Amino acid sequence: MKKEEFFGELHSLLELKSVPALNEQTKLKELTEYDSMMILSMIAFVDQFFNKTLTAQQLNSVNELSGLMNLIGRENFE
Amino acid sequence: MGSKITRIEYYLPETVLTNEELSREFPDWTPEKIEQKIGIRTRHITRKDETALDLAYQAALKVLEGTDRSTVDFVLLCTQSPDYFLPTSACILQDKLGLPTTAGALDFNLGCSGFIYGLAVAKGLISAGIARKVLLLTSETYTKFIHPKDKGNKTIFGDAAAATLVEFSDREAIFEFDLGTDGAGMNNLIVRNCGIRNPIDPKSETINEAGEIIPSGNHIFMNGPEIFNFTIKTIPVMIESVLRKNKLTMNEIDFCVFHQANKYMLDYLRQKLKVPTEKYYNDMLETGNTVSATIPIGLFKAREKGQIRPGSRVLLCGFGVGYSWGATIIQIQ
Repeated sequence: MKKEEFFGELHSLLELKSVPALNEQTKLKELTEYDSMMILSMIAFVDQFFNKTLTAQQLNSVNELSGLMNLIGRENFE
Repeated sequence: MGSKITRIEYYLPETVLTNEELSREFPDWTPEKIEQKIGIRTRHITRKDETALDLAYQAALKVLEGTDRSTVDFVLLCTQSPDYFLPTSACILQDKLGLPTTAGALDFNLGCSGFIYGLAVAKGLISAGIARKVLLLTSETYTKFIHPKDKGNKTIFGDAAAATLVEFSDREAIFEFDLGTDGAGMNNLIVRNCGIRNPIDPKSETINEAGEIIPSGNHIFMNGPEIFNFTIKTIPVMIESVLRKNKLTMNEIDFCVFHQANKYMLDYLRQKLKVPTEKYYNDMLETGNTVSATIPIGLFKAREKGQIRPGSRVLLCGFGVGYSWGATIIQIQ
């Protein structure tokens, strides 16, 4: 998946209003929308687009969006 | 020779907890956000002196209206909040309901998969010739296990009981089952204390300085993301398997009633399973997640709304605490 497409899809799926767009440096836990529902949405997103299971523990360890991309696997991004 | 569901009724306790009340207590979630994301507007809560047995009794009174009680020969009660360790709640209900002393009665302890397991046991009893009319009760009061500051669980769960009559039939209307268990998931949905292994710890801290919930063990703990992972991994495989066992495809299913966990999870499962919205029940607006009662309540309401009718082939699926899961296909009478 192209990185720009990934940022766009995730931004729309998470229904983010606090930031106009996402990038690798976006600090997920600092988003005002960050809560338990957002964690579920991220798990669903990664399952849907990358067929990969992320645990709550893995997601909790992520700070910037780049960390989420590392968990998904850099080989999945163009 | 087979078995069929002949009647379903349900009972909700009178006290209602609204999104507005929750939002006043937890201002970071608006009533609209709760409804939009989780699909719940209100949930019914038992009074302090009201128990799962009381709810089951009320639901049973409704389902037995017009039925000769002497013909009920088995009572199955699914609950994880029994009145006593002993005696068995189903035995107490046999007496309270005036059912014959020749009836068998037992409780079984399951959560969101409980209705499916109850149908499996009822079908087994009937096909073995042990019973001909089984009163299956699924009654739960998780709200009694929730810490008052636990926003997530308080938002999701409601109390309810459902009563279902499963009877002998010349033609099978409860078809093949697919059941599964994985106790390795026990720690992801648990009330750790209050049983024999860990008694209640009155000194247990539950809220830290930042106001966050620390699972004390005295209350329900649910690792939502892990339950979500379990569900999206396990349920599609089970659905494929139950369809295969019944030699059917999803196109031949008229309607699906899955355990009503929360709207978000159900929407995602539907999308993953490629089930059209018009064939998929997703409504817990007025009740919340009522654990083992969601599927029979869903069947009742789907019938009321005309989403299912006599002859409809309906796929039922329950999943949750244990982990435990199960699915079957029924024909509506």
